[in-house]
Parts: sequence; structure tokens; C-alpha cells
Amino acid sequence: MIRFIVVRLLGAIVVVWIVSVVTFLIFQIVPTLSHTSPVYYYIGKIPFPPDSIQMKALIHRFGFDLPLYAQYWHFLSGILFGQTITDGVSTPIQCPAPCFGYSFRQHQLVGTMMATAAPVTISLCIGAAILWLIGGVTVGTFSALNPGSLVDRVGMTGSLAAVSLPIFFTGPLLLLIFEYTLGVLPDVSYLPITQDPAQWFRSMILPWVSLAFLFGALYARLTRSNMIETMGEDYIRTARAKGLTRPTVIVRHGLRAAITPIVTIFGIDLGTLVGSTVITETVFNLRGLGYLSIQAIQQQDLPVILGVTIIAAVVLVIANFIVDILYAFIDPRVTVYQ
Amino acid sequence: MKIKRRGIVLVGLLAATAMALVGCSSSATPTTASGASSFNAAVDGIVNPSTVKGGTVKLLSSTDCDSWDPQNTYYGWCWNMQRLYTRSLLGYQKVNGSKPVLAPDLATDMGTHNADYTKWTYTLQKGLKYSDGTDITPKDVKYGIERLFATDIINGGPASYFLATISHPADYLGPYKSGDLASIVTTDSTIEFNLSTSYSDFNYLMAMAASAPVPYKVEGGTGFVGADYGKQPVSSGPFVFTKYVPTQSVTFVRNKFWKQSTDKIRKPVANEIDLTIDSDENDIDSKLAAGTADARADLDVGTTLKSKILTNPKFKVNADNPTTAFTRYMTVMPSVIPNVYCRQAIFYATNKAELVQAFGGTTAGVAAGSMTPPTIAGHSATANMYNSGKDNTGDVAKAKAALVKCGQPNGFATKVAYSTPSQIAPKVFASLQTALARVGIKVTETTSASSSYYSTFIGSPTNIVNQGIGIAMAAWGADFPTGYGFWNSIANGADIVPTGNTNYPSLNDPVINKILDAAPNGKSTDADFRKLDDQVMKDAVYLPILFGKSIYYRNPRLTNVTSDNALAFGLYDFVNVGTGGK
Repeated sequence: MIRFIVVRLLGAIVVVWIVSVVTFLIFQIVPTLSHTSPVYYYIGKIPFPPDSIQMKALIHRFGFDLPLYAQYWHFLSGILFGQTITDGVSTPIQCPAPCFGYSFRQHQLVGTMMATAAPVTISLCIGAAILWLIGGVTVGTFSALNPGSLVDRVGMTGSLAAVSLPIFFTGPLLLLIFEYTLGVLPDVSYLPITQDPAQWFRSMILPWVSLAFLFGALYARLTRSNMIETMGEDYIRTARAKGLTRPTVIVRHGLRAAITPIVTIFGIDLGTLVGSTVITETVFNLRGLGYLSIQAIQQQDLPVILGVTIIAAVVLVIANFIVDILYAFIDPRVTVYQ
Repeated sequence: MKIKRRGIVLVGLLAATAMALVGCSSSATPTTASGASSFNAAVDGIVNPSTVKGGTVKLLSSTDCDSWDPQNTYYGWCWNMQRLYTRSLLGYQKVNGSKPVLAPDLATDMGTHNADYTKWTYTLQKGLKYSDGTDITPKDVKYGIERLFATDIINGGPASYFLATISHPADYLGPYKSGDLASIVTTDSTIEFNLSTSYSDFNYLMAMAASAPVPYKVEGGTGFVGADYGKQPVSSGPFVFTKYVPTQSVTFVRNKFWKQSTDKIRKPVANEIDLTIDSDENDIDSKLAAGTADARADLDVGTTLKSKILTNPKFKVNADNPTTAFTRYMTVMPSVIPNVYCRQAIFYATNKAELVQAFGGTTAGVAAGSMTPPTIAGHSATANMYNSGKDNTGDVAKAKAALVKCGQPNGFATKVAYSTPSQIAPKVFASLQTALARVGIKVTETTSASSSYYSTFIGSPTNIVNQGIGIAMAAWGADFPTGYGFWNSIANGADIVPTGNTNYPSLNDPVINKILDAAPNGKSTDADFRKLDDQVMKDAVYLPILFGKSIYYRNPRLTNVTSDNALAFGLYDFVNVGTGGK
């Protein structure tokens, strides 16, 4: 098992490194292909002619006159070891590792901006994930145990509807019903859990539900199909023949086998979600990583886009890594050689 | 200057650099009516005039300023806010309406210049002090302007005007790295600028916040030098910049060292002005409507409040919809459509009524018959060389006649360029496409990211030809309200460059060039700029669509409210606003 973990960990590190190289090249080099100086993406305008001493001074300040490998090393070493951001006159800005640079548009360290936004996104993702996992697996299991029954028909019809409805529909619909019409959750603005747990919970209910509604539907359908297949296996019949109770057969033998692919996609979904909650955060006015990234894209704030992209990729890689480990625990047949 | 550079304003907030105030100043002469609240009452007049002092004004904005350092700022609304805590050698006697007028601010008078406008001298008033009690000296004014040359450190302001006019060594990079700039000479009471070229509009540069004094080699105190100065700028104006939390809030309290006797263009009454940054547009609208905030400092109201204003008289009486200082237009490229009659066909066939709707309707602008906006010399409300008919939907008959003269009676095909992302531009394109199709002109769209649109897409004459861009969407407003300030960058043949070209059609007309070349020597009159506008229209390269308008809301409790159309597209001039002492 240790060998398995080490190999997977090394693989994850290589993937992260490749992501850093590709991301760096995309964001640092591609602008020059469209004849736009990367300086533009740092200060927001092209204020001086390309060959002027003023433009050369700016290019030098941001290090765009360095060889490509030196630019990359500067970028990577900042993430690994931190760096000091200075123009030689203003007070140097200490950017501790992992340093993702400085937003000259918003006058803040990118790391600080992401650290402020991350708890919102993490709150959203974890809460929604718990809801959709419990809800989806439960509905899928009951449907599978009684295929063709009323429970199954209602569950599957509901999940089909849920999976068909985008968040930009369900989100405003929930707001319309619970905030504006019923007034059950009026004027719920986000507060960190550390400041006001009750307000934090109230503010997250509708975002959790709308996000879980979409994902839970997928999980219900997936659980149902896996469970139906599993419950028809010979070893399930054997377990029943041995006189095990129905709940034991379902949970210990049926669900455990059926849930393996669920765990796989759960990890990937959760990892992907960190970088893709833009719509939910926008609909519910949550200032998380998704909102930060869309704002940065609109403002063409390159250091922020770069930082959020790397973080989203790293989270996805870590999620995959954890899934691999869990997968090995759930199914002992999984080894490094597979 | 291009609209896009005033970042947060989607349509762009470009402004002239005028500062001043009417009415409330003891020496200024109101030229318009003042009184009770009504729709558009603050556009030309002053709403709720009052001398009652005290109280706190509560302002909201959706973003922070690009910088609070006067040398590092380019957002129009931030120039407006800088009237609170910065003063320059000159300012404006009047900021509202369409005719801002220059006046002395820190200087004793309007200064003097030599015959060819290459040497300008100003004398500072006595007794001027910063908020820390130290004297404001000519050396400080010089130091502030020298900072504009430190472009690797301070690169957000309107430095290009100063670099292009003030004489300096080619390798001069500001006071931090290159030290003293010899072409700016100071004494104990005077400052003299030696220019590398004639520039009769130099007074307008001296009225920009970018010309504000900065304490000589002290800046904002320990640690607040270079780009850090924006975190703690020292006040030369009636309010002190304090309690700044980036992206959240800033508070302006009264400067006890500021004297009314030295300031003829401001008359503040509030004790404090609080600016809170609230990125939720709907929340801003709600607070304005509820009266828990007094005004929005940065932009038009949002769609929610706009709807209330337009439908509910209770809100409408507290709103203003001023015509502002920029023009939206289409550039029709002679390099791609060389025949002037073909270009004229586009002009005649365009449905301006539809285009105004696409831009947001009549509250977003009024259809323009010529390029020069109302605040600029040479503007004519009646000029309309290519009349679009009574209802402004286009003159199809004249368009077809122009096509016959052009030798393309069945029309032709070309491309329309616009920048992305944009919610408005696709609608504008669709409207234009429909209108031109009526006479057989088929247009297809070609887009570019806004990052490169103005610099290398339509800012490159070669790319325009290579891409076959016949028409390009653009907008333009001057940084200061003169004919030269508006026209030179977009119409002077001498300023055509390979990339970053702002003269998109590469207009190089001797009649136009002659007027623009004479302007820095003070030899071009308002009539000349009217003639210039006519000539541009004859060339049929700039198709004016609308003169921009914005819609703003003021809390009924506010006093002394007037629009600042010199600096900030009609946003309220907050330096003199009060709350009746509450």
C-alpha cells in the first residue's frame, strides 16, 4: 500500500508541475503571440510606445526581458519559496510561499485574495457535496431495491428533471420562492462561519440545495444502475443464502461494491467544483474563488487568473490522489500495477 | 482618449480635466438656476443650495479607485473624488453643464506664457499648507509632476501628456532614479515649465489632479513613497484622506490646515465624507432607494434603480441624466472602403434610432449628427451632414444614390469589428447589419479581445487592411475639454503610428492637419474646430452614433448637489455636497 501511495504521490507531483508549466506558458507567452505585451495584463493598459524607454522600464520591472526559463523559475520559485515584490522605490511587498504574485489592479497579493475567497467556495462545495452524496445515494439505492415501483419512478423522474435544469434556473427559482415570496430566508448575506455560524448556515442553504440538486440527480441515477447490477451478482445470492439480514446484504455487500465508482467521480467532482462554482456564486452573490476568477477574467487581471487556475488544478490533482487511495482501500484488488 | 481606458465604466468614463464649482463658491458666479429637487436639476444648476455645515455624506462605489495617488489615477470618478483632498495650480470655476471654465486654484492667477507657448510660469498663493501643517511649495508641485516620469513605478495616470510636452532627457525616469528635472524651474513662490513643443492647452494639464503637489522627497511619510503613496496621500485640499482599507472603504475628514480664503473654487460644508465599496450592484441600488446611502460615487445607477427612476416620479425628481463628454461612433476605414460615396452610403443607411436603443435607449445617449460632443469647442447641436431622416432611422434613398455614385448599386460586403467581451456590441452589430442590408451592404462581424482591440486590431493600419475591416466600433472622450484635446489623437495625420494608433482610419487630411498643427500655438479658434468637424464628416470616416448620457441618483437630504461634467461625466461634485448638518 505504501508503494502504491508513493507512486501515486509522485505522479501527482509530476502532473502539478506539468500544469504549472502549461499554465505559465499560456498566460505569459500567448499574449505576445497576439502582439500584446504581457505588461498590459499587469497594469491594465499599454501606456507607452513599444520601443520607448518607459515601456522598456516596465518590461524590465516585471521581468519580461528575462529568458523564458528564468521567467518560469521566478514564477515557480515564488510558489515554492515565496518572493519579495519590489519596484526599487516603494516598500517591498513580502509574498510568502506559496506566492502567486501581486494584483496590480486590486493592489493585493493574489494569495491573500484567494485566501479570502477560498472559505466561501469550500463552504459551498463541502456542504453541497454532503447533501448530494447522501441524497443521491439514498434515492438511487431505494430505487434500485424496488425497480419499477412508485419510489423508483418518482426518484428517477425527479432526478431526470433535476439533471436537466441548470443552476442559473434552479438558483433564481429557489431565491424567488424562499427569499422573495415566502420570506423564509430573507436578505441572507454571507458571513464566515467563524463570525456568525447561524448566518453562515442560513446564507449557504439555498446555494447548497441548488448545487446538490444538480449533482445529486446524477449520483442517484448512477447509484441505481450500479446497485441493480450488483444486486444481481452471484455473491449477493450467496450472502442471502447464508441467511444474512437484508440490510447487511444491501449495505455491506451490495452498496460497498456499487459505491466504488461513486467514490471515484465524487472525488473528481469535488475537485473540479472548486474551480467551477462561478454560476452558483454569481447567482447567490457569494464572493468565492469562482467569482474571483470571473472578475479577474473580465478585468484581464493576469496574476489572479494564473493563481486561481493553478489552485483549481492542484485541488483537482489532490482530489484524484485521495480518490486513488480510497479506491485502494475500498477495493483491495487495486494496486499500483493496475 | 479611448473610453475603454477608464476601466470600470463599461461604456467608459472619460473626462475632461476641469475642476471647479459654480454657485457655492463665494467668488464663483452661478450661471444657471438653483433650487429644489427635480429631474435633471443638478445637470446645470445646484439642488438644495445650503450653507449649513456639518454632517456625514455616505457614498457608495462598486470598486476601489485604480489608485488614490493623484499621479497614478485615470478613472474619471477618482479624479472627481480627488477634488476632496488634492488641489492643483489651476482648477475650474464651473464643473456642471457643458462649458467648464478654468480658474486659479493653488496659483494666484492663470499664469503666464511666452509667445510660442513653450514656457509657462505660475505663482503660488501664500499660506498654503498640507494636512500635516507643512507648507505647500513650488518644489512640491515640481516633484509631483516629476513623479509622472517614473513610469516603471507610477504608471496609471495621464503621464503621456506630460512626457509629450515637458522638456526632458530621453532617459529621464523620474525623481527616484533620475533625480531633478532641469526643465522645471522653481523659486520660493514661482514655478516655470519649459516645454519641448508649443502647447497652448498647457493650463488644462495644470488643472489635472496629476499636477497636484506631493511633499518633496517626503511623500506620505515613512514608508509611503513611490506606489505606496496612494495608500496615504497627503492632503492639500479641504478633506484629509484617512482610514483607507483597500477595496473596502475610505473616509475623508476635514483638513484643519485648509483655508477657505485660499480656495476660490470649493466651498465644502460636510464634516465627513465616507466612501464604502460594495461590489453588489443590487445592494447599492437598494441602499440608494432606501436613503441609507446618499449617492453613488463611481457609475450610473444599476438597472433596478434605473427602472424605478424611470417609472416612479418619487424617485425621478431625485435623479439626473446629463449628457456627458464622449461620443460613440463607427470608424469607416478608407483603406478598405476607398470610395467616399461607398462610405457615405453606410452613413445614410445607418439607423441611429435603433443603435441608440441597442446602447441602452435615450437615457444612455442622444443621437449624434457630428462628432464633437457638447462640452468641446466646435460642437453644434444642429450639425448633421448625413441626415438620417426625421425619425433617425436612416435615409435609404440617399444611401442607394450614394451606392450608384460609388459604382456599387447593388451594395457590397465588408466586416464590422468590435471588442469582446461586450453585452452591447453584438446588439449594435445586429442593428447595423439590419440597417445596411436594406441597401444591399452585407456586413459580417470580426472581434478581438479588448486587450488588443485598440492596440493591435484596429490600432494597426496594416491589420485593418489584412483583416478587411471596413467598419469598427469605438468611443472617444477628451481628457480635457478643448478642441485640440478631443481631435488631435484621432484626426491628426502626423500621429499615425504602426500600432497603438488612435487615428483608426489613418485620416490624413491637409485641412484638418493645418487646424490641429496650429492649435498648440494658440492659433485655432472655435470656428476652426467647427470647420474641422465638418471636414471630418465630409471625409466620411467617422460615423457619429450618440453623445453619451448617464443616469445618477441623489438622496433628497443632500444639499449643494451639482453635476461634475468637467471631470467625471456628470457624477455629482462631492466636495461641496452637504447633508444639512445631519
